[in-house]
Amino acid sequence: MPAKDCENISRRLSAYMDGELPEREREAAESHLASCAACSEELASLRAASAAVSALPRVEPPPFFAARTAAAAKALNGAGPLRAFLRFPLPAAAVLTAFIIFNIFAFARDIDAMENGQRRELTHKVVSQLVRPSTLINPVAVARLCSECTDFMCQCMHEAGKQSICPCKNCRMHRENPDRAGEVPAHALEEDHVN
Amino acid sequence: MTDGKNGLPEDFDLLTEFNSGDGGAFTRIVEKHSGRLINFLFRYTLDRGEAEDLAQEAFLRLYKAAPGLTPGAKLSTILFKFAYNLAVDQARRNTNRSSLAGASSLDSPEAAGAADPAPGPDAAYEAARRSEEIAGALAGLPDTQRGALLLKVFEDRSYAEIAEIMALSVPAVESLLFRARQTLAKKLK
Repeated sequence: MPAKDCENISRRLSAYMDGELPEREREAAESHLASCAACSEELASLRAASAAVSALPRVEPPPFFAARTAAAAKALNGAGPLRAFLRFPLPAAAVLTAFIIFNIFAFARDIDAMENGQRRELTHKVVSQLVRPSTLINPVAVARLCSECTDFMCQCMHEAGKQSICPCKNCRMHRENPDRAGEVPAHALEEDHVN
Repeated sequence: MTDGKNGLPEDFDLLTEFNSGDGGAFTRIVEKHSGRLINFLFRYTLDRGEAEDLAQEAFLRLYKAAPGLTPGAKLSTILFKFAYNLAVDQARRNTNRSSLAGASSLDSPEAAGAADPAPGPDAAYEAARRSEEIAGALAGLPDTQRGALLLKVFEDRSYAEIAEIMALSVPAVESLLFRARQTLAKKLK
């Protein structure tokens, strides 16, 4: 038997014993094996190796494995609506982006309603805070900035006689001075009159 | 619908039931596949506790992925793919694998003698010694060869399925299986 034939067949013996050879190659392997003792012996040793592994003792799953796994799966669901929401990153990102854009527009509208000087002062205040990276990752600083902005806007709106568009829910100016809340300052009246 | 082998519902039906909100279907999926999965992972990782943890993690991944799976998906192949990837990651973290080789208490002569006294203590001891020798030889194979061989011998998977689970080509799987069997045959002579 030519050694080259043996080499070619030998490399494919594993596929032959697993029934993974195409019809033609399987027939060629069978006819070679019928006449080659060395390759037949190698095939037998490969089969013995597989059989030895197959005969290894099997382990049983631990008691209540399925119940424990199902409980762990349920716990994934019960981790709260926020986590469930964040499991879908695209819609979550879209909602968060829409929320941020809405707030930017609301902020811009409020700023737009302010006098030029006040607008510049507030913009300067916000930008000088936000350019500091520590502010962006510090929720306390961001909250303080928002609170300061709201107070500042509130003050400006009231001083300008534009209480109707004051961004406050529970206006500090109104609480501190309820009698004057509806009053329109003289300079604002003058402005209105001029306009 | 049931499959012919063990009377358990087919994966297709279980997946459909699970995706239509039947929480019990997931428990049945775990019951159906846990034994085979843990055996595969145990022989791959050589550590029973680790095998059980990885099996649970693989089922949880399947749980998360299930709503996106099509009814035609082969659940057990996907499950083994998750498990294999987890085991590969775990193996990368383990540096003392060689110290575990052949040290499985399941294959030790003492354990086998206690578990199966019927053939007589000498025969049981001899069988267990042989099991330990085979387990040691198997553990000594490179990870990819051992993974492919376990999927073929324990699971009787086709080369195409093994290739899918291990993210390899079919010729690569064929080569791995041939080398694994050849090495084992030499060691067990």
